Amino acid sequence: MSLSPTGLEQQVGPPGFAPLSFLSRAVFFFPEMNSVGEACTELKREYDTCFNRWFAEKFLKGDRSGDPCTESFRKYQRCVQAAIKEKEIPIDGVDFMGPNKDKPES
Amino acid sequence: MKIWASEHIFNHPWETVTKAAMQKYPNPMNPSVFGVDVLDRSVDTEGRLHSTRLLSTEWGLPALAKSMFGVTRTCTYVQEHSVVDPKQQTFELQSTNISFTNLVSVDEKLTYKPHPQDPEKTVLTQEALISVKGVSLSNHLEGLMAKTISVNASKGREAMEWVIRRLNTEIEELTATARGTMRSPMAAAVADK
Repeated sequence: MSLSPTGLEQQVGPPGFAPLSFLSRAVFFFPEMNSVGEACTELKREYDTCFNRWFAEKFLKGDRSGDPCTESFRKYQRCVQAAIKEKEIPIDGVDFMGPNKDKPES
Repeated sequence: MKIWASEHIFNHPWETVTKAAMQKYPNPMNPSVFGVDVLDRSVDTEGRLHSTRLLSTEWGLPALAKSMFGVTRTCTYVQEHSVVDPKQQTFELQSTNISFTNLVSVDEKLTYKPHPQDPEKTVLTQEALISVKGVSLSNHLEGLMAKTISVNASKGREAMEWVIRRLNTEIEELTATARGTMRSPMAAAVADK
């Protein structure tokens, strides 16, 4: 469940007093972001949970072992790419293996 | 065209800041960001993580801007490409608006690196290039936008501190409840600090 900005502000208080209900959620019970595709939010959060854990515990520590999130990423991607097409969001082509791309003019 | 740049030091190590920056949204300082999506992500042959993300924002444009530009929708999209190099300890992000590109171009670049003299600190260098197109008041508008970017940058830094506090709080709680039954290297690192 996502929290309203007001709800988040109320929790910026003394540390260690987060509501206990958070403990029943996934290990990294962070306030969560939505997807641009409303139907994709759950898939996105599953992927994010996996990624954030791998990123903090493996990747940043120099552990080059496999990425455990490929399946959740695939499912999430299928959904989000469809949402982007449907909303006609003008995504620029991705060149992820190359040098940082120049920003295009309109 | 307007150029804005700033440098800021966080009193937290690079790894902490990088984890926080990766999970920056949502936070109470940037309520206009309503969606963050990963469009692509991979590790290159040198072990660097490349990510392309889409940020969806809802601004609530002032009425004047709406009547000037004739737009009724206020949803704007930003595309961001980032690279995390865990060996060199750099996190670089570049973003550009992909909405209203016929009107304005805002390119931003952020780089997080460990402080050269103090590994417990992180330096953020941030720059923005703003260009308003085809409007005679462009200098004035660009000035306004630079000011907004400056204000937002300081909110962004507050947001980072907020996210870092949340991360540390979570870790403390996990450590307390787990009581050694769950070994988390991150919790151990924070507890040792």
